[in-house]
Amino acid sequence: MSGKPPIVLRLFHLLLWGFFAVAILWYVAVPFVVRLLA
Amino acid sequence: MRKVAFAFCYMPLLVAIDIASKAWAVLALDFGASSILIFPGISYRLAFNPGVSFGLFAESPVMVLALTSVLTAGLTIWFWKARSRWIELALATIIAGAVANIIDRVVNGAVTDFISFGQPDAPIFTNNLADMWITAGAVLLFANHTLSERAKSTLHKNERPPALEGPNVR
Repeated sequence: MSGKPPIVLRLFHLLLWGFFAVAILWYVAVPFVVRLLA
Repeated sequence: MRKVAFAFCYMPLLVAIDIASKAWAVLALDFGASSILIFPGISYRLAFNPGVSFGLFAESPVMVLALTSVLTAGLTIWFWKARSRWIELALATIIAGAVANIIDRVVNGAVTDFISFGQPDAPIFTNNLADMWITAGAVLLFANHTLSERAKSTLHKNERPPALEGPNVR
C-alpha cells in the first residue's frame, strides 16, 4: 500500500469532514440567528 | 510515553474544548432566556450549577470543590498506576472532565451548563461537555471491566484440565 488514495475516496472524505464542519458551525451560529430573528 | 501523551496532549485538549464551549455558551446564550431547540430532545439553555451533577449539594460549594478535588486526585493516582490502555483512556477522559469543571468552579463559583435534554420548556437535566467527558469515561471504564471479566471467564471455560477429557492422544 503506497501512494495517494483514489480521487473518489478523497472527495468522499472532503465531503464528510466538510459536512461535519458546516454542521458544527451551524449549531454554534443557531443562538445568534435566533437572537437576530427575535 | 502513552501516559505522557494522555496527560499533556489529550487531557489539555478536552479541557480546552470544554472551556471554549462554556465561554461560547456565556457569550451566545442569554441567562434566563427560553431554550433554543437544536435537535429533537436536545436544546441550549444557559444555567449555572453550584452543586454537582443533577444539582446535588448545591448549598455548599466549598465542600463540593474539596470533594471533587480529592476524587480527582484519587483518579489521577489510579491513572498513573494503570497498566491497560483502555483504562488509561477512560480515566484520562474522566479526569479531563473533572478538571474542567473544577476550573469552572474556581473561576466562576459554579459550573456553566448549557446543553439541555428532554422537552425544551421542561428539560430533564442540563449539562456541559465536561459532564459528557465524565460520562463517556465512566461508560468506557465499565465496558472495559465487563468485557475483560467476560474474556477471563471464557478463558477459564476453555482451559479445562486434560485429565477430565480422557486420554490425551496427539
